[in-house]
Amino acid sequence: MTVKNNTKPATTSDYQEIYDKESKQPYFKKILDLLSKYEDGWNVFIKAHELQRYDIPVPRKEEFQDDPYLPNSWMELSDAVLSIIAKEKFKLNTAENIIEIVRLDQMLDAYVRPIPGAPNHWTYGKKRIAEEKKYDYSKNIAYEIIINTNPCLAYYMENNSPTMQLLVNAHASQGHNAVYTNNRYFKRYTHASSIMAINERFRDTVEECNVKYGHDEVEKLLDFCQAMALMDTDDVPAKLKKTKAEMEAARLDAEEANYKVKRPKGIFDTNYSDDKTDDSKLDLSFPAKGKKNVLKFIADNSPLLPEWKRDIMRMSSDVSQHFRPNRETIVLNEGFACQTHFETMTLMFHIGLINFPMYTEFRTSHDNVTKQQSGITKIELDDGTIEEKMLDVNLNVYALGYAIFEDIKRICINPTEEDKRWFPQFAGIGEEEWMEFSVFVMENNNDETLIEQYLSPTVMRKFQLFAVEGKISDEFLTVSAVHADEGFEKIRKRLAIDHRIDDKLPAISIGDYNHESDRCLILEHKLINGNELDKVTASQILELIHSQTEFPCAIETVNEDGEVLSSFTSPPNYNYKVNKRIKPYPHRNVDLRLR
Amino acid sequence: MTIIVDRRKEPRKSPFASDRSRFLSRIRGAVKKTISDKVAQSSITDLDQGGVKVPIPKAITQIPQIHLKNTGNFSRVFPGNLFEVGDTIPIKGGSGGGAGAGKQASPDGEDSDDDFVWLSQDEFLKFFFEGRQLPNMNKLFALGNNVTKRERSGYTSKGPAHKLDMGLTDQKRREDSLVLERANERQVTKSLLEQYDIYQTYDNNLPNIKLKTVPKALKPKAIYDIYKGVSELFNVQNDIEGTETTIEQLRWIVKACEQRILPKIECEDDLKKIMMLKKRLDEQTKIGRQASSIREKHLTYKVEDEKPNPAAKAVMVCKMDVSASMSQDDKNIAKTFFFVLYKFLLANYDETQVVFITHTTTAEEVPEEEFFYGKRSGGTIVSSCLEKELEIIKERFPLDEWNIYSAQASDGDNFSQDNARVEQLMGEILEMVQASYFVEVKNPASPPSELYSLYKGIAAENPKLNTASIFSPKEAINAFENFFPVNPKQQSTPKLNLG
Repeated sequence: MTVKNNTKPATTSDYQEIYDKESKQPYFKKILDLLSKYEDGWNVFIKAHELQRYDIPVPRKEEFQDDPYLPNSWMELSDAVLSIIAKEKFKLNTAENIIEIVRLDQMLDAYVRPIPGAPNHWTYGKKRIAEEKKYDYSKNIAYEIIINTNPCLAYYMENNSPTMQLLVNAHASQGHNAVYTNNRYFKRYTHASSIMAINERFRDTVEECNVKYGHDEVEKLLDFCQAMALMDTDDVPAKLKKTKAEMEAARLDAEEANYKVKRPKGIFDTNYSDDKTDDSKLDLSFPAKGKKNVLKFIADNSPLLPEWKRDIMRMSSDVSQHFRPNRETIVLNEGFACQTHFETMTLMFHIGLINFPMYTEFRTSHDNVTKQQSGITKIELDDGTIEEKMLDVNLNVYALGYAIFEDIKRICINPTEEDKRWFPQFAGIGEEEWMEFSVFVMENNNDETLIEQYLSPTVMRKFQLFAVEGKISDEFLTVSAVHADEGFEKIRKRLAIDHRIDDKLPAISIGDYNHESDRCLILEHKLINGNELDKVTASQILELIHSQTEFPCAIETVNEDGEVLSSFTSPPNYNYKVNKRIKPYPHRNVDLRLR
Repeated sequence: MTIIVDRRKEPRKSPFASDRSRFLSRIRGAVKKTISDKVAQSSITDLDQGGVKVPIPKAITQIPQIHLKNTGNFSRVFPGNLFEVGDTIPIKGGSGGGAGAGKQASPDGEDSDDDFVWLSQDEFLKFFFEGRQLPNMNKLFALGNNVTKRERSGYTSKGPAHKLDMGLTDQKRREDSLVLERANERQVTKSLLEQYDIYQTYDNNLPNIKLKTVPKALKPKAIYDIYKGVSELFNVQNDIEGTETTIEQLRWIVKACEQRILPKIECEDDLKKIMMLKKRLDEQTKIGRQASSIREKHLTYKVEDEKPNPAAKAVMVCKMDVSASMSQDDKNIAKTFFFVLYKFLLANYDETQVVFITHTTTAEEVPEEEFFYGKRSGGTIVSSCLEKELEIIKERFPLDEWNIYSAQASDGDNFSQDNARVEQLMGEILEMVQASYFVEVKNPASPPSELYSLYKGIAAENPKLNTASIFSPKEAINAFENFFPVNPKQQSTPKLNLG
């Protein structure tokens, strides 16, 4: 690679065509405009690579010495350039970034907490010791960690090379950031701009309570909150901000509803009839039936809890709720981030911002990340025969996600006959539109829907996917579908169901609450695929609920028809009542809150 | 605009320090519970290799998380196919070691009830020694030891900022400000009144102020009356009504007079005098403002000095019978006792010396290595080692400086004519030492030896001598536990380093 001039971009003849085309684009002019204000100009990244340091000074030309809006350090400059590419070239809508460059110990600290500044708890200490030992053993550490906040907080490891810092920035601070900002699940379920404030208040409250009510008591409560993980989030999104017009419409609706309300029939009603309503058809259970946020339900309804405990429980639930979409969008998140960093880095290579050695370093790292280990290995036995052994291999989420997005690009630009048959809606829409379409896919899907709609036969062939069915209690599992004509649909459906995270986790909701008698809380576990609850931990959790609320509780396993298959209680063998409560106002659909 | 935060230079003070210590204090109870058994079980001298695995109940280290058992239908997608539709894959056993998923499914819920923590030998023994103490350690000796402590010794007017005594400094400031403020108040009042007197000569309507004739308690009232009078006279709405102090009222009066009367004054002497008074008033006001501030002469710093701290010096004399009558097993049991004792002294007492003596028919002082791992053999004369001990004590450890302890292990065999000599020497030693310990390594089936009964007799009269008969490493540990019982009041928390 030859460097023509300090201020003019350098490029090789191989990519001259691409370079000529890109250099006419507005984003290119913007980058050129920005970099020409610096002494090193277009070579600023290559220079950092040659020195293998990203904290080199970036001297400006004399006439721009006093401009306060220009980036001051190499990291800031690289972020500015990558943001221009992401925003102007790929049309990504990203939140602002906060990038913290951290040491190893700070990175390990960041590993163990869901969010920086979470209140102190011994489990973090335990995890930290384990992470430290794991690091000592494997010497593996993440390049970056990104947290869904606004501005978007990211930790970069200090010993990343300049190329890795560029890659990491494109991956996390542009790619993941775009998903967090635009994906509908994150948009609907999370409040990125206020989560840090919520968390800060959580920590302060815990610290205050430590002083007021004693450390042991608070620790017990936090233990309880942690034990309630998977039962402390709602599947209904938090209320969105309403526009003025919507508020007005809601107000009018409410006014009208006043006239429509059916009051209970009294003897003075003209059309009073003595017919008894059929009680058996009325749902007489507690109004909150079916709600999944058990922790918040306890905080709102359990009568004996002091107010500070309710407060801490609610805040713990709020923080958990914020991270709920993360577990539903892993493949999508990583896939889109990988595509972003791949496209960005390749573009930077084509327009000469990085040179060939840097590109090689990036490709090595990229290929390592998006490599899929095969599920079957061949082992040569002592007698010379070769045995095929099946390993328990999970699909690499990076590999799967990136392959899907990469294939979307291929189908958009260069579709085969098969692709046209499978994806008539976007096959061959052209080079200009593919990124727009890819962003559209990112915005509107989670893992399940992404796979269900966009997993192409090409990817299935590449991964050599096959579906296995059977019963664990049997001796054999049967291969039900392979990557061939009839198998594609089956595998795609199966894989989508694999990524339906709600089926993997116990589906527990409020069954009933006997708030007028023994205040027994009855939880309902819906049986999915015949997977039963682990009795040991479930009864431990019941014990915890019992000790916190001071009232008995039970958990019922229910099949699809609503039949109770099994149940256990705390205290053991407690004879709880299945309550047939008479609803005074059946039309009212409001939580009864006992404070 | 992106914010870049470089956190590499931050101090290495992890916020996890408290999390970590909370976790460690959580498992501490469980570690302590099992420690005594563990010490006895493990061959103590082998502890160095790899540490000890201590079980800790899962209830302490884990929070239950609700999860599903894979009891139902299994259905999953794997990569890397080599099969055709309809092929079967064995789950367990068989040729291929089974489908991984089958392996994964079974163990949940059936794990053992314990987690494990690996402790190194030192950490492990620290837990064991926690709260144990040498008895009667009451000879304190200050001279010649290098243990010092910092002690407060008075105050200075100059010193580093962190030694500033805020209480004393503020006290000095308040004393000064009390005097200065009062004096200043008087001076300001005087110069204000002098100004007023001049103005009054030009305007007869102004009320007369003669504060000297007014009793002290009524002065504010008198000034307030004049203040009212003046404001009525000039017909001004006063803006400081209600909140003002007496001096402020006076100032207001003088200011009001100044605005109306000063332009009318033509007499130069009066003008000069007023200007002079005004200048003086300004200075006085300035001084008044500073009266309550901290000045350099108020600053008071604490001084600390290093002073020698009287600390106890102690020596432990360990005597072991290595004669031929002691079998190798017996020696190992005795060594277990001494090993724990030695580690105990090393861990808990910085200023402690240990003297090792082995004896057959003759006694000699040996280094630590040889005491635990050496191979001497021969007949037995117990008095030889007692003589050696007396000799060493007289030579090296003056009684007024040192707390002396002695420990002895033997199988009880002795040359029978020697016993009288032993009794006499033991009497001499017991006068010198703070406490003495004797363990007899003997099969409980055989009758107690003459030496043991002799020592028991002495121990009955003199509580300084403690005896025990042991025949297993576990009993050796028990003997140690009995000799040095845990003092519940003085439990120090050992630092456990798992990282």
